[in-house]
Amino acid sequence: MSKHIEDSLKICTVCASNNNRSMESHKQLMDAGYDVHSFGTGTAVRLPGPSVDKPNVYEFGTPYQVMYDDLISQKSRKLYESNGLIHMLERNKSVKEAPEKWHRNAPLGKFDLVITCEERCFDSVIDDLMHRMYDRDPSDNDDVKRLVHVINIDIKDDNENAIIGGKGILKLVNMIHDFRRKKKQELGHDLEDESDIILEDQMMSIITEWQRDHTNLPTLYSVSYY
Amino acid sequence: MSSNQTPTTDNVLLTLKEARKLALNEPQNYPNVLRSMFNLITKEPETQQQTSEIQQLIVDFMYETFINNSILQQSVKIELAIDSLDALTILTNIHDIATLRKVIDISCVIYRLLFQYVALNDNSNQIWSKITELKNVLVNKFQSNFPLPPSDNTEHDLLRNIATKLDLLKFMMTIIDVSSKTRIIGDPIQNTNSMQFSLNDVPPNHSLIKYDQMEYESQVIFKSMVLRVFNYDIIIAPLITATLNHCILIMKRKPQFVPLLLKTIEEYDTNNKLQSNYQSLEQFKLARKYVDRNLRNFISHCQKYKLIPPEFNMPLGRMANTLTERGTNIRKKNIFAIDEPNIKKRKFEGFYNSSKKMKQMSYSHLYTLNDVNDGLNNFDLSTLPQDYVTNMVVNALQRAPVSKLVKALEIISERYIDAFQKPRPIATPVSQINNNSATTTTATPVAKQEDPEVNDEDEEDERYQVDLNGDFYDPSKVFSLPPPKELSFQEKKQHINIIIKNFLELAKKGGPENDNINNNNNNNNSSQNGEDESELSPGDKGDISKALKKVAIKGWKKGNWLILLSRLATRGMRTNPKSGNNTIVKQEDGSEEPKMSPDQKNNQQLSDLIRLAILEYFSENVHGRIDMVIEWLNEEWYSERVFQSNEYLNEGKDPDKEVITTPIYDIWSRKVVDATVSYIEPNDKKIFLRLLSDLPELNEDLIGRIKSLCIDPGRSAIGFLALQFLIMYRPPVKQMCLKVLQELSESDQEDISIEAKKRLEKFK
Repeated sequence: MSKHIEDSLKICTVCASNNNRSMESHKQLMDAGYDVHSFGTGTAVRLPGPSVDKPNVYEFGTPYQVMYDDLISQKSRKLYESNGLIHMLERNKSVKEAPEKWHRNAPLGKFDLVITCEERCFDSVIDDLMHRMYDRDPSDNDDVKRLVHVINIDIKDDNENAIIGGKGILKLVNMIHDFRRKKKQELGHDLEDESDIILEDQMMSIITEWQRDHTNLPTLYSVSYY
Repeated sequence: MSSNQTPTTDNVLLTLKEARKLALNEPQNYPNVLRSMFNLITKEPETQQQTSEIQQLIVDFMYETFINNSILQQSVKIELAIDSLDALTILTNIHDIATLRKVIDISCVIYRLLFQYVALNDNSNQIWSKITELKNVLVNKFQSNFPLPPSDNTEHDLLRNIATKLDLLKFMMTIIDVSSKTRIIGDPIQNTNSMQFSLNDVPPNHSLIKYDQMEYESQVIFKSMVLRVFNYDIIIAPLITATLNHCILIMKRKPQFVPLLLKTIEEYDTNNKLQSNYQSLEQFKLARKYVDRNLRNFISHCQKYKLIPPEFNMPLGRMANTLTERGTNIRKKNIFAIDEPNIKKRKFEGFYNSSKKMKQMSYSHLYTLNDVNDGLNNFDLSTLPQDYVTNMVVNALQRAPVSKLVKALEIISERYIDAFQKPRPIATPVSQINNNSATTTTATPVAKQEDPEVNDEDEEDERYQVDLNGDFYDPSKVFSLPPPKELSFQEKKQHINIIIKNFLELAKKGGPENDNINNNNNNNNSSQNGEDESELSPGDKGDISKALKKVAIKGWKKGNWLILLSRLATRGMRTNPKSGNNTIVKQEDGSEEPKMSPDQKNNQQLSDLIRLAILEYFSENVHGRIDMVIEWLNEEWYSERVFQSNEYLNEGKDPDKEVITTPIYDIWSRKVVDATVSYIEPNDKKIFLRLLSDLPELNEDLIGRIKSLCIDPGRSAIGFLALQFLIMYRPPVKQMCLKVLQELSESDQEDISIEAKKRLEKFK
């Protein structure tokens, strides 16, 4: 199964560890045909451990396969299976090789739309974009600054809510891509105000409409450049 | 292809595509291909070849050329950038938004390239004037909705074409970054590719790029354009967040603009903003939340990287805490379910149905400006007596503001044109007209139902409601208007700003002609020595008030807006102080100013809004507007003297024996001279001399400002010439000028000292 949306924005999803929330939405967007990447903003990848005070910690860039093998080999394997960790890593392996850190994503180019899954991640992304405004990455040789929409969808970090959040994010991304098409169909030659088909002009309307149907997923939004 | 055949668009496009391929495959041909494209754009007169499609293709290729192009060497890019300037400036008028945004991106790159080129190659006069024109053209678009046509009201326009405004914001920040001094705050910048050319790197004695002028210009763009979004009474979340995120550059690199920025942020409070008529209540709540979060992130970033000057640490820290607390409270609830009785909606200024297209071919659709679903539209006026209808219409016309009536008629005429251009069969039988259920049209304000109280008020205003049940018209009764309510100071301020804005819009629409002096104005003829008796006929000598009632405008002419504004500032809002309140006190800046009562202070604040607007208008084009500023200052001086004379007469004193001061004129003439000094170039002798010769009075403070010109190597000729001119032609200030020359002759700059001594010998 392979879909491809021709006019897809360059999208990325971001959470803390690039394992659960951002990967679930990465997968759903990818399956829907969008051009999507995902990242984490934490200092390291943290996965639940045998107890709350002993998490499993890995460097960003550690392949999901390696994490999978490590967890399988631990005594707490059954715990990891029952809490969904093993399944999560299996899903992640099918999406990409390893978790990636947001702050080191400059070589991948610029994104049009950044969707974060937690308020602290949103803050971290905005903070980093501000920093890049005056001290950009050595690999960023772009001659101009690009516009980027940063939207936060607050998702609780567990399996069930990640799926709900992933569906919500897919819905929002669909709305962002569909709004122009719909307007043109509705109005046809009676399109009187070109503002109605400009994404930047309509983004607040789109988010508000989406939020009305997803009151359990609070949003944040900011426009920036980098 | 036959040489007699006019190239069609398709042929031109095909040729251009082939040319582009050639350039990409054989880089040595790149410059020639691109230059021929530039010629295609600049060729005059415009032919039908100048279609949007062709321009778009050329812009795309220019984009490939100047942005992230590794094929071309930097020196070739610079040469092509120089050659592209004429075409690029023309292309800023392209009407396709996506293409215009590319033009803006290209302009960001080219401005940097060529600013640096001019800085390192003095005497590049032509290039400098071209990039200056490109800059001015683009910066001015920020306040318009170009290329979208204006809508029916300014509130709506603030929320349209945000995409282009976001890119123009980027361009303006590029201008500020390049054209003002850079000093790094906090830790050094790690990556060398972030260190870009700026004003610091310009040689100090550059003949074209003047430090003070560039710095001042950057400040004006920053204050008047970039920070403007914080002053709106509604919240435009995408534009505010983008502005905040971009302004981090100021915090890091432009300490000279930091106090202005932080003061603006400190005073900003989303709780004091109004819900726009083009936002639902839900949108407004989200916008406030989004902006508050961005503000907190901005402050946190500055704190984290130690970018905040000490004097702002505490207020910004408090602000961050307030915003954090606000965010925490919101997070606990569904934001839409939170009851917020303090939210107020902005007064609606437009039309609920502003569509310029006929949805259905019927008279009711031609004329209906109400909400199309408004039940009022179904009321059958023919059931009313003729007299009632007549009086209702007359009453409505009298109450409608002229500008609103004009806009309404414009909409209706557009619909009429639309009806003719797109003939459609009349599908609706006459008997069903009153039962139409048209869909909501575009640009109808949203969430009408969510604010029933506010909308009731709007509807009442909209309908000009008349009591239809009672005895409406009784010829024996005498109607009298109730006395108007006293406006609060804040309301007065609001009204003044509206007046100023309307006049300035008139001025800018009219073009250069608006800057001409109106020949009807007699006040230019005040004599230099300050005697004004000659202005009055002998019989009116003792009646000062008659002079003030002279007719200044006998018919409307293009320059009248200045007369109206300056009269409003100088006479219309002047309070007659009571006897004994005229104590003279020294201000901190050394100027003398009458001690003012609270009423006087308020009125002067209102007047100063007008004065500041005129000054800013002047600063935008010092060269072309010198006449208007001279006229304004003469009016200031004249009015101030006449009012004081009148005051003395009322106190039973002889004005000829009293000292008459002009503190307001002194303050604002100083500002004008400062602005002029900031902008004049070595070739601007005539402008500066004109200003000095036509100002009604010069004091020592103003003369002292010429001194700074004399010290500037590039403009000292203007300074010395000005001093010489004043010594010869304005005897009252001769001694002041000689004093300045004496000071300059003792300067440790030898060339200045020599020049000053030479002139001293001549005029002592």
